[in-house]
Amino acid sequence: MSLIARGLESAGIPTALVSVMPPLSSAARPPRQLIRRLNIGATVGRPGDVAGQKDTLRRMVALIEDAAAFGAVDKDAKDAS
Amino acid sequence: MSDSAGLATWVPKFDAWKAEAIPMFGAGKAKEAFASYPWVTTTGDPFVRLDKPASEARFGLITTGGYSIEGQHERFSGLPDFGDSAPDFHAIGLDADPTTFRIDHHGYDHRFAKEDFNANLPLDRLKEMVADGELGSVANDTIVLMGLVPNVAPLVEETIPRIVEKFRSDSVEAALLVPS
Repeated sequence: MSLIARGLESAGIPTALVSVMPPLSSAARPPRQLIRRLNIGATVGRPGDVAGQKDTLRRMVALIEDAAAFGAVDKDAKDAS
Repeated sequence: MSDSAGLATWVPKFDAWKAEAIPMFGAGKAKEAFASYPWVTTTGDPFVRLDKPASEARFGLITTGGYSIEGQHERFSGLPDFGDSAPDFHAIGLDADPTTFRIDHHGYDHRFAKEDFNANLPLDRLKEMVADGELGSVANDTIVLMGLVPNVAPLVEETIPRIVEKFRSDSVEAALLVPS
């Protein structure tokens, strides 16, 4: 998925990737990455958690709007659930 | 495509890994096989800025959740493909009927998505964000792939340019990527 992000970015389309497995997603160096402490299969948020799902998407959009340079990362705090 | 250049040195490493890994998959040792996977080394830092506020921009969504629509798409194989064929993707329309969604991907637990597909295919949330004025618009089609693509060469050389073309034809200005 990081390679797809890089390919889009090379073609002029800004991207944000959400990851719950940063060792895997970081290996290919995505341009912008939101690292969340969520489950595989619920990468955007828990089922039915409308606010949590929207929070993930808003943070991805914020990375696209605000990140200044390649390799930008927004990461959940360690104690976040 | 900036990452094509690194493939020449990567392909021999992948071929060597594949020769050892395929028998391990056959023996049910997928985790051990992927532990020695040769990640491709990327060079260059592709980065572009969005030249307008999100509230005026058109967003495209990509997920590796392995979704298909009954009666519309061929099923994904659901398993890693070590061959040289380019990974296919499905286009899921913004207003597709969720009762027709099917998940072919065998590499993750589907229980969250079956309860609420927005957990990894957040179409309802994106539509709400457009309605609320947070995003300008969302692409007509979401691009859905399988994950589990060990041979990244055809992905980089064929599939990614097709995704770029698809998004360009849909006037997509920024992309949100959701793995599974």
